[in-house]
Amino acid sequence: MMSGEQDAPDGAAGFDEIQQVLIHFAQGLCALHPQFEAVADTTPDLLLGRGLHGGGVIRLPARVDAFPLRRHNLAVYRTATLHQLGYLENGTYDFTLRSALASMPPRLAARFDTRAAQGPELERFFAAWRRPALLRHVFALLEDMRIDAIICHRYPGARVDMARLSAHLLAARPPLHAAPPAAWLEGLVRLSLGAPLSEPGDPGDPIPPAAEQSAGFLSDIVQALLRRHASVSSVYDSACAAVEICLRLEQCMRSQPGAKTSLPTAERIAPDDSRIAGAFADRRNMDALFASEDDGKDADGAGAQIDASLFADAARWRQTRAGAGMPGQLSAPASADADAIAADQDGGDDKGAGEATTPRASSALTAATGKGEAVFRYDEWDCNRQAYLRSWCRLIEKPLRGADAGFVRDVRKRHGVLAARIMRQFSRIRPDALAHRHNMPDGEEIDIDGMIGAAVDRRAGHDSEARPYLRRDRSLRDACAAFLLDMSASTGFPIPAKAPPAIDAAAPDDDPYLYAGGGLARPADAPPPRRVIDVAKDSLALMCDALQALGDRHAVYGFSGDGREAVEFFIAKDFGDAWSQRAHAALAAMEPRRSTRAGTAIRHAAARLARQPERMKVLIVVSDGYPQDRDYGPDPDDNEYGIQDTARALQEARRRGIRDFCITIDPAGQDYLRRMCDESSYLVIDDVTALPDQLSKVYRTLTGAL
Amino acid sequence: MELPGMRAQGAGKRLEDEPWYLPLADEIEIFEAAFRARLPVLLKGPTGCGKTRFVEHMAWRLFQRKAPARAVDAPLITIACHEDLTATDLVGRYLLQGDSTVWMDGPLTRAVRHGGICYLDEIVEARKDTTVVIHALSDYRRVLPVEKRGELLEAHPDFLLVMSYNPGYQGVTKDLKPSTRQRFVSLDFGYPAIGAETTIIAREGGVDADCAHRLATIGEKTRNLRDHGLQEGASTRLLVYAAQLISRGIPPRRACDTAIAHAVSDDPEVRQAITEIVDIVLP
Repeated sequence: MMSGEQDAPDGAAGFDEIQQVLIHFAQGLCALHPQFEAVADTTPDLLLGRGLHGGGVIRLPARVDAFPLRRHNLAVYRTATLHQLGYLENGTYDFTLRSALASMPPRLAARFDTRAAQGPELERFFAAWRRPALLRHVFALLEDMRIDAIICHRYPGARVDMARLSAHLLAARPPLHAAPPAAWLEGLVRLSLGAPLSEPGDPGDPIPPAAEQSAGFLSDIVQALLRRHASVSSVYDSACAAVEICLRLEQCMRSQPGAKTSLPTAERIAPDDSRIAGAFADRRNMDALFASEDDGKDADGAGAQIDASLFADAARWRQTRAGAGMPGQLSAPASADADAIAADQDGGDDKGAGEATTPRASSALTAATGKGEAVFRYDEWDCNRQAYLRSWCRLIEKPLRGADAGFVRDVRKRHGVLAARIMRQFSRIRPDALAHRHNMPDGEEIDIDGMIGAAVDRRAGHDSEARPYLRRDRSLRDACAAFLLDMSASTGFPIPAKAPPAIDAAAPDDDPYLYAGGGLARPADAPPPRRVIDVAKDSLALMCDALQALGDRHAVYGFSGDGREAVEFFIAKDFGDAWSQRAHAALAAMEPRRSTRAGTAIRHAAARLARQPERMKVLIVVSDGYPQDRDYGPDPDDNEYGIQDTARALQEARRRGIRDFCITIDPAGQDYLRRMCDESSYLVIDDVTALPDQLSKVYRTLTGAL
Repeated sequence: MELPGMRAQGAGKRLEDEPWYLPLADEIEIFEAAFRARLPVLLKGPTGCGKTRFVEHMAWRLFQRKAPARAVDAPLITIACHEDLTATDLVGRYLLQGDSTVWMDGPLTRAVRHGGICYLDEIVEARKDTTVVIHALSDYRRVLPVEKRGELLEAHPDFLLVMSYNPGYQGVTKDLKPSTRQRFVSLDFGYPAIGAETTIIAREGGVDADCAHRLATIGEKTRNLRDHGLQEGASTRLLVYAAQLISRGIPPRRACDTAIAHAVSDDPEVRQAITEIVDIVLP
């Protein structure tokens, strides 16, 4: 971390200022994209990045002020992130009980009772041992040591920061007062922070003889673990070593009936020493560690039970190693859902926690659900965490097919006057892209190259027409548009009936909603009530007619869905599709469906639009309400999350050079559209029947034709 | 004819010394076979992955190596394609010399007439009405129409047409038409695996194996950021630049900062993340 200001003293560092950098850091280092979460309480384990949280979330302190220099505090974030990524990179979460038992000497494996073990693989491993909390504690320490050794080997530049932090935390550890085996466990903690096992606590306060004599047997196990080269060590080495240590600790307990199993509490050592009290805050009462399952006790926080759902999330976040970082290479299909992962784990299967999807938002995976469908994963913006939830949403792209090939013909008939007016307006739109044309017979400037070429050719005896001018021609329009239609259930609501408008013969263009032929329909022949989506479809049909005549390439998409794993994206007409009867029928087939996860749909529409060659790209979103879905944010009753994610998606589109515009027919749309869009990029329509007219006006404005 | 003091676009290269190239797969064998069969070759790959070096090596290998089977005046003629490149630039034009005009072969015509490799670099940058001139050269006909001379030039037996481009950076309009791309044998190039890239960096950059390995590791990590803040990770070329700076006394972290982090991104957060990666990978 190189900024000079970071050498300033009094330089506490905050999570918010480093979060984005860490996201890129994790992606670059390991091709992984876990979530990052700030935790208010700072514990030594949090600073070190220790703690098996499942891999989907990296928990970091909200603020670090352990050191006077700011860059040292920033380095703590990097160290902690490295350690947690280390679990993911080095197979900690690939642990299976079956493989662990298979890798152990039979005399150790025979001591496990796997009959009742449930839950994630590591939890089953601990539960199958007589003293689950002790094994969990020792395993965590050893695995942390293994990960640290790998990091030091693989990333030598991280050693200094790790040593600094370890020394800082070691200084806060309590001295080794207690008798074995408690002293040995504290010794293991100290060893994990870089201290020798038998290092005395305070000067003049040696380790009790019993502890000193027996310390060697722990040291040789730990050293053997750490001696295994980083490239070949595995989580099963830690597991085996942890079992060995637990076994020997229990044997020592039995051989020393008077041995105290409790570390002195903070109050007994030094009631006024906040340093020691703080050091004990992250370590459990040793009594609880030595409780066996027969005692019916569980550790009082001795390594919190690993939440099974975290492993399910870990599967979603991780990426298969084969696919990591290879341009254009697709990774394996998305894993099954959490239930299937849990079922695998319950069955003690050797399978890991599923394969994860590629983090590339636009990669098509093979887990499509139907013919012609494709599945994509997109990030979602979490406004509460101010960070992206990576690959959070699963979008299913579906081509629409319909049967009503006469739909557009009916629309033209239904909106005859309006259709004619729109066509007239569009036909007056002039191309706006200029192109330099060389070697022209006339133009605004002399084309020197053309002049020379002509003179030389003539001198050479070639009879070539003199074309020595340069002209700036207006070429064809260079614009394309994507229309994204909200197909949520609410678009099926009927439009309130209106009194039929009076016919004004003097202004034929002012009354587009008269049916061709005029007059009022008799009640008995009244058509079925028009729904919001019917008007929207009519509007799009008229727009497509006009754009077809103008020559602007265009696409019509719709979106809906049910939850973040089932965002539906419908293609009625794509950019490469002809405005044919097939497209007419597909447009007719757009029907109300379910929810409105607009952010994801906008990202996908923008991705498709960004690939088009035109200079000007326009995205017009037509909706009837605010973005909402059953899991669009932590509180389904709070719309803010969805509004912020949609706003972010529109912002991302603008960064890609896309001009966006939102039209809503929700009278309350002003409240949220002004937060989602720029001031000039949205329109609230009071009367849905004005949509066809307004839509064409918006398009002409956006493309500079007005 | 080449006039004194004038060089047409696309200078010929004699390649006295072997341009060093580390084969990654069977690309040399395929290229040699394509040359024997007189099939044009298309090289695809990201920037800085060795396409041009490969072509130079093959030109040396085919025409300059000791006891070559053949000798040509200019074994390799490279043309950097761009939007203003015209067919005239490729084929040739009449020039004034005193009171008379002389015809000057363009680089493409020179290669066709005398033999050698004509290498069109970044072919998609040229307009389609320019690249269409190569169609007759790149199929069984192997002829180049020189309309201003009324000549239909048959390609020299030792003429080979090679093109390169970077897929993935291009939009629809800047992609190769199927009628063009299906006239070529395609070789895909990518960034080398870490072991091979270490060898390349060490040799080209003048650093030891450990330093080269660390630079290759940094390159690999930056490529994980493709589509996550970077359009493309650090190329092998950039890693070689960093090595060259280091070998000339620049501190490694500073060399990586200038040659890698600042070269691949202007986003301060992405750059800082790359800097952090550099910081932990280097001792």
